[in-house]
Amino acid sequence: MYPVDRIRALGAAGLHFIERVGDAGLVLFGAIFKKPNLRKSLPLLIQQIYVVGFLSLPIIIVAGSFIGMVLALQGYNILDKFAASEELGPLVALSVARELGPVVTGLLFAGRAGSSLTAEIGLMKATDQLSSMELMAVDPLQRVIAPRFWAGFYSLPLLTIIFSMFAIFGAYGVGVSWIGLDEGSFWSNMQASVDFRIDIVNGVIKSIVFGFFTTWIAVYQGYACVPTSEGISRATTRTVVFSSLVILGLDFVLTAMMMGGW
Amino acid sequence: MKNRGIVELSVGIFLLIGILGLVFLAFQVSGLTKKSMSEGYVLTANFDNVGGLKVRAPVQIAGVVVGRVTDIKLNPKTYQAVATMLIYDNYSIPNDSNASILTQGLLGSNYLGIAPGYSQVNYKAGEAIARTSSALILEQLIGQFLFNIKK
Amino acid sequence: MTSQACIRIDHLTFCRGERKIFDDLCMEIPKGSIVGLMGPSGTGKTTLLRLMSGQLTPDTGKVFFDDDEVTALSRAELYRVRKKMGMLFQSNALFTNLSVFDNVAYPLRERPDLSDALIRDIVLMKLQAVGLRGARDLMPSDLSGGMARRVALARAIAMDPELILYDEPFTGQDPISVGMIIKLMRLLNKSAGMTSIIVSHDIDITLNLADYIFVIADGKIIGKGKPADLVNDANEQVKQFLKGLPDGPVPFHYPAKEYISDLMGED
Repeated sequence: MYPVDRIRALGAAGLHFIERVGDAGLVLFGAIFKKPNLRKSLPLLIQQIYVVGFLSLPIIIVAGSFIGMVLALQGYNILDKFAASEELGPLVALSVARELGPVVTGLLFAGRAGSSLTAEIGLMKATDQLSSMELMAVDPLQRVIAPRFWAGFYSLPLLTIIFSMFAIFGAYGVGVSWIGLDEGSFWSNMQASVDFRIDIVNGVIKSIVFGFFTTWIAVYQGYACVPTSEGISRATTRTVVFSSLVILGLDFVLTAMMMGGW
Repeated sequence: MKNRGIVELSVGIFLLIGILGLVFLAFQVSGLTKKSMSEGYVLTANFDNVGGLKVRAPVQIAGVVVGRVTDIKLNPKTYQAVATMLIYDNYSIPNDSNASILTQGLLGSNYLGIAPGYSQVNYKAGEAIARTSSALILEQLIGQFLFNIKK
Repeated sequence: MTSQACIRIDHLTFCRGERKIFDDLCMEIPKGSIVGLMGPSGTGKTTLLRLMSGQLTPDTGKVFFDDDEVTALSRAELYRVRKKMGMLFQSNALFTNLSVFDNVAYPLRERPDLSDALIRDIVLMKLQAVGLRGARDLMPSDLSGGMARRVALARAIAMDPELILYDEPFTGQDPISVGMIIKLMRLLNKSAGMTSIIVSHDIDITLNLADYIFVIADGKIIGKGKPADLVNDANEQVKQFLKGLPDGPVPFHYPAKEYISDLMGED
């Protein structure tokens, strides 16, 4: 009898999870597939891009630079053994553009911007701000959720590009200025190995997909949270954990698809 | 709401940095040039053995990239490998040139090298390169070497 | 045919999960009156307000606001009807990122036919009515509890609604703020004819203020009538609630084992 209860609990949990995903889908649908009131929505969108995108720049630039520098340092260490240290440029550029750029930027974004979005929306729900909007005949999905969703969706690819750029700067700084590799061959080897469409564009495509899911999760968790302080804190944690898992999982799927040649 | 001007300026700067970053990644990092974005024409070449040649491998004349390999298939009638390549429009290949599969450096990946001939007539789109040299397979070389030693 | 009832509730049943919150509830709220909704905590008085405004849908039954059947309206129509309603939340629900002026102007800015100059005038008038015209540039975080509540009230009346719903307006306020709010409630009701529905625990104030009172417990109306009549009501539950008796139909002791055996540690 006891194992049956366990299995039943598992089934119930699974059904509950699917219910939540369906609810999340409805929320997203309600937020993006409605005619936007441009005069009102555009300032809100710009405000949100400022909060979600621009204010994330410091952490992204610092993280990008350091990751580039560390990659260059560690990479040189290994490549030197094979007398292949002139391949450092391609090593860093490919690692960053294809994988580290989208994934690390996505994880940092989920932690910083995602959790703040969830907390903000959750707090608005807990203090009845969303309800009062509804009573004033304002649709909170359009006025609160939609600008934040689009802001995250637009910001993450830009942040990823900036991350990659600073990572390569960092690698240049360590490789050329500090270790003393040849500047010309650093760039020319990189250019010969990095293909714009396969490496750069695919990385940007990954970041677009990550942006969609991360922001969706963050916004939904805030909107659907239990409106107490404990509920908000749990929702924030769930945003970061789910976003991170989704990013890593999707990264594998996308990489497999891209390597299969699409 | 009062510092609306600052917000819009910051968002503008953010977008600008993003676009500059994309431009940087495109040109400085991946070597995107006008040539690589231009169109080209298709040629084919038959080989007994393509070795490790992969799709998207470069096609080079005198070490300069003039195109890319776009497809590798097996001809079911002749059992030869057919490599299809895209040659960029600004390059022309005389019709007595030799296409061979070479290796980058000693242990590198394969690429398709074309040694140009002296003909005044160039290959047109869709034609097949007549003279080809297959890839050198290491095991076959070693086999030949051992065979010759035994003699 | 215009009815005399501002809100009419017909046989409303509402369940949350397993629990039946309301069971076959019928209620009529006459126009232009001040009505009090009272009852023990957790009976779902706030839920009833949300059912009236259409934020929640009942399992069975109908809610009528004026002549519109709230329960049958589409989302767009619901928004239209809500423009005639105002609600004062227990938490004030002010938008923390907007100034006092912008908060009150928020519902007005939804109307495309109002010019900025007109909006400014209306906001100043509403703030004047609650006595906070000078505070218009402050942020909600700068306001005291009483001031925040008055700003929320100004926002609720910005569109001159026919009906105002007050959710626990006196809870947690100091006596001066409570006095100010009562004064404003009476003013809005007498001069503007706004129907006011007040959900409250405060017996003295509500008995004093309301024209008509409903006492709700266990999902049903256990007492209704004018304040003077209700005080003499024979119902035990109503008596316990109105007199604030600690023990009665709502027991003091949570159900437990016999006291002596529990103390002696017998399992």
